[in-house]
Amino acid sequence: MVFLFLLMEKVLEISNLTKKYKNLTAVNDLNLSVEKGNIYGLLGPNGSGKSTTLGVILNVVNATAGSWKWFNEEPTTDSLKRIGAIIERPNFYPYLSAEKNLQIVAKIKGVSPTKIDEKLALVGLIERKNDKFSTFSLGMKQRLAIAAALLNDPEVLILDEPTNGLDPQGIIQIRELIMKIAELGTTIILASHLLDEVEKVCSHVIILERGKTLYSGKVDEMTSDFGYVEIGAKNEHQLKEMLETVPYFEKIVFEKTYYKAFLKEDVAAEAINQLLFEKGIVLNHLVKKKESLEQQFLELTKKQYSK
Amino acid sequence: MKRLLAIEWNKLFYYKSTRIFTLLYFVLLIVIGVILAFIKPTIGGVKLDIVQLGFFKFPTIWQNITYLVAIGKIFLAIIIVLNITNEFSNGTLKQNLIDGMSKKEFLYSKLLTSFVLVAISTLFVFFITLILGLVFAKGESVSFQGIEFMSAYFLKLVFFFVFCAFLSLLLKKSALALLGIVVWWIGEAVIKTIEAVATMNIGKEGDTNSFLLSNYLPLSSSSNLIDFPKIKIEGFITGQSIFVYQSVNWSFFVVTLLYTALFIWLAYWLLKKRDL
Repeated sequence: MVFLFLLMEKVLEISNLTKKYKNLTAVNDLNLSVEKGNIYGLLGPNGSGKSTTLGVILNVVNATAGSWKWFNEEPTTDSLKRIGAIIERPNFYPYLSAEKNLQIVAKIKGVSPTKIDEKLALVGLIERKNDKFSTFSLGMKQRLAIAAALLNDPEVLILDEPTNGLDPQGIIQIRELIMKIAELGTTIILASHLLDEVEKVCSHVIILERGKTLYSGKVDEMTSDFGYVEIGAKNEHQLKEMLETVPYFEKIVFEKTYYKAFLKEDVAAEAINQLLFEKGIVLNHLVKKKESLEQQFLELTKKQYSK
Repeated sequence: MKRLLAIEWNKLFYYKSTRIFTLLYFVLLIVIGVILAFIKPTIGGVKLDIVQLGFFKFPTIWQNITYLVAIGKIFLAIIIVLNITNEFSNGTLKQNLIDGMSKKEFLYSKLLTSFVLVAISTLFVFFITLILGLVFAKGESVSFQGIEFMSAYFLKLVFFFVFCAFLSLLLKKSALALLGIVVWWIGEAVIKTIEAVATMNIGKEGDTNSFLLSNYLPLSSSSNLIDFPKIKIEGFITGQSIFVYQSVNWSFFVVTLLYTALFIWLAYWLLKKRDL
């Protein structure tokens, strides 16, 4: 365990970050850390402070208090040159071609212009490299933005709502691209309010709510509970009585054609089946499930509100 | 510096408005030179030949030409305003910073562009003046007395473009920034009038010899760098040049230099402080 801890290289560490606007605290004493090689989902409803946090660590928003470190160093413009980031919408010079736009980015980041064709090919825009940015569709613009962010072969890729406003095809293209980049070992921070997206793409999740971290960890360890089982039998009444006598469950609710029983401990589905069968109940439905990210997210944010 | 200029080159050279306004500017400068030399208007029955009046005579030609062509700077100022405000409307300022450009580098690149434009313009005006002077010198020797007006011209443009850059960063929109220049200019005129009335100097607002504090406001002091050429009427009667050589008023030079530094600092402070 100790070894594992040492092996984990910290890419980003935020300590006690606060950003206040006139009468709004967008980020409130936020702490989080990002380790190398993982895909992080930065999750939270609109206005939870995702974009502000990213703005601060990317040097475009001034923090009110707190500090952050990139690659265990004090942040400078040089640390930004090891990062690739897209914030909100793709920002380019509309009158310049894709290639000319990337030349500017290459000059700023200090990378060789030979990278331009390579990255345009990666995002599938090599054929359009001489076309003006203003003639691109939103999906193409977003892909060009990803090409720009990848130009310096970044150690971390930050994407803020990368699929926002795209059509289903565009969304799939971007998602496939993200997976492709992740396979290369690049650390990715993906901010989104789409839970489904984060669940599909990310290994870790950080949930923000009103500028505070609600949860930070692996997606599948988000809640400490053991999931639930859906149990159905012909004789519903008998089943319910029986379920109440079994010590595994903390709560049982009826849903349409089956019962949903929440587990108190880790029990295999086979054990439940066998137990009930021994008591003379034959099941016609038995599924063990964990709550989806959406349900967990709602659960977490609900707890926060009731506090 | 080369890196920043290369970045600016891509941003500016391929932008249509830059090309149009640059072209307009140089056409305007040439047209002014040509029209002056060949037009002979008749006012009140008297045929006015500005060549005869000595407009192109050394040393006053340096002041006369720089005074006249300075108005054209507005074309270059529009390029600078558009160049900066576009960075806001395209969201590219934010992206440039995220990509690893510092705020200092950003401002520096914009100032550098302005200086290059000023340098080109100053050289161009220098050669126009020299050529016109040589053409109309008619055997008289070429004089570089009065050449200090070229340095005044250089500073006048540098100050104006720094001022425009500051307003563009402050107001973020091209229309507002250009309007801002006009409003500021009117504001100075109002202050001047008030001071003139208060100090019983009515009618002498523009007179740099009557000591008015408002002459040292930013736009006024840069405008006073190259004053309207001094004229003596005896020259007209005797058929000599009517223009009198008088050197640059260096107090305005120093004050304009200070204003330039001040507006650069303000622009940097604004950029540094602002959340994008």
